[in-house]
Amino acid sequence: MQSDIDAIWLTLKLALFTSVLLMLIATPLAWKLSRWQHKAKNLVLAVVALPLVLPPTVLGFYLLVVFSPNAVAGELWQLITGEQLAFSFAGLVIGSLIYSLPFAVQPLYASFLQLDNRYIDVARTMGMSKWSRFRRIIMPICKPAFMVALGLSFAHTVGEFGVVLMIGGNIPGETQVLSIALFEHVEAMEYGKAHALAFGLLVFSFLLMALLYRYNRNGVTAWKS
Amino acid sequence: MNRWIEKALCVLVVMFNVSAHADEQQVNIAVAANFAQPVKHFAEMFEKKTGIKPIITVSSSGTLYAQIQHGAPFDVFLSADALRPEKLVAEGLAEKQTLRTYATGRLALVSRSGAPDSLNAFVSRKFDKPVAIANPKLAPYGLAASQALGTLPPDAALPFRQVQGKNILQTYQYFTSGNVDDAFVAWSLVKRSNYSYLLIPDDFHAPIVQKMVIIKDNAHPYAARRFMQYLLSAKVQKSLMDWGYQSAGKR
Repeated sequence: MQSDIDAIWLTLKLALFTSVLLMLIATPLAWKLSRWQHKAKNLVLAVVALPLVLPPTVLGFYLLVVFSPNAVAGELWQLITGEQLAFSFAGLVIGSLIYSLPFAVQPLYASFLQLDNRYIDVARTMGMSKWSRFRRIIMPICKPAFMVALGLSFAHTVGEFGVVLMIGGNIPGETQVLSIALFEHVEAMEYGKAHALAFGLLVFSFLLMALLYRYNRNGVTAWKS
Repeated sequence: MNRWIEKALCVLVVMFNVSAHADEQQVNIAVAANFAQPVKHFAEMFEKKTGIKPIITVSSSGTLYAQIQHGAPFDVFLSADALRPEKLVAEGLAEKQTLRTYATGRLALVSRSGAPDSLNAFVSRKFDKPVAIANPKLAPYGLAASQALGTLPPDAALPFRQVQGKNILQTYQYFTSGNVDDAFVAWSLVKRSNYSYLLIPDDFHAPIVQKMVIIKDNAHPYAARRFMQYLLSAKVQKSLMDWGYQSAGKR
């Protein structure tokens, strides 16, 4: 039971780290993409969307290979931090960032595309700096999209399984997240414990989604009026 | 148009009937990951001999057990342990009189820096990477590994961190991908490799008895029995040593 509680905390921590970091990465990326016209744009969009369709085991497999201390990335990380990338929390965060990237980028990208450039042009002519244009124009108008991006990437990371299964190593308190603990209960025939976790996860995901949809609707109508 | 649909339906019905009654041309085998390689080899020989085609599904014993519980269409279940086939029998899902030991597994410690002479020598080494074992709750080889480590004097607090694979294949994968340098795996996985390994003496852990059983109400009862007999035949049992197993009879 204690290990299940540890798994829940670890999962929330992983989802929080991942979704906040993703907002920092996805916002400029989505903005650049929405204002970029080039033949290669479709290719970049396709790469961003890849985690949606790839089996997580593909991603997990590549990460396992790249994280190995024999590979360049794994070796560099070990040089800088002194720690191994596979079987570590940092490794899980990197995996989750890639895995949940489209869930953060796509709502933002769609919202930035719809954003009327005139607002920004007017703000610029009135002498607003880049940062305050973003903070006082773009952020408020696209707020629903930001909430959806944050919520979806959080929820998607909570539900992550395949990638963690490949690169985690099942260390309690460090890489044993909720879905892995659940998997272990099922495989070990502890169906009672499995039910408790599975049902909890189901209710949590439902509440989060319901909240997001509610927020989204209110946000969009508020914006239109 | 209606006619056409009718005809198509007729053809479909006939096709399905044929495949349902063309019985005993195939047999569906569910096999635990550690035994996948040998069973594929034996299946080929079996098909040559009998003309019956084995269709093989590989997964962990736990997953296969759960699938069979929920009606997965397997004829024979080759588990990595004795517990799960016995439970299926107790639950009335498998035929009691077909429960048999088909192999006994052996544990090996594979090491990139060269195999140690003994477990004691191993734990006196220095480690900068974790050591991989299979999850003791799920995998019989993981349980055996933790039992073997448990035989060491208790004051020898283990000098390494453990990481756990969900089954023995994933544990081995952690090793082959270079993420760990030492791993406790099935002898069958490393016996034919170029890696250096220590075969753990079999009195260091409870025997890894692997049992098989025929699932009740299956589609190919005759083929299932023939396959089972084939696995228990003297020829197959004798060759198990080459694959890294002891034959069913021997401890």
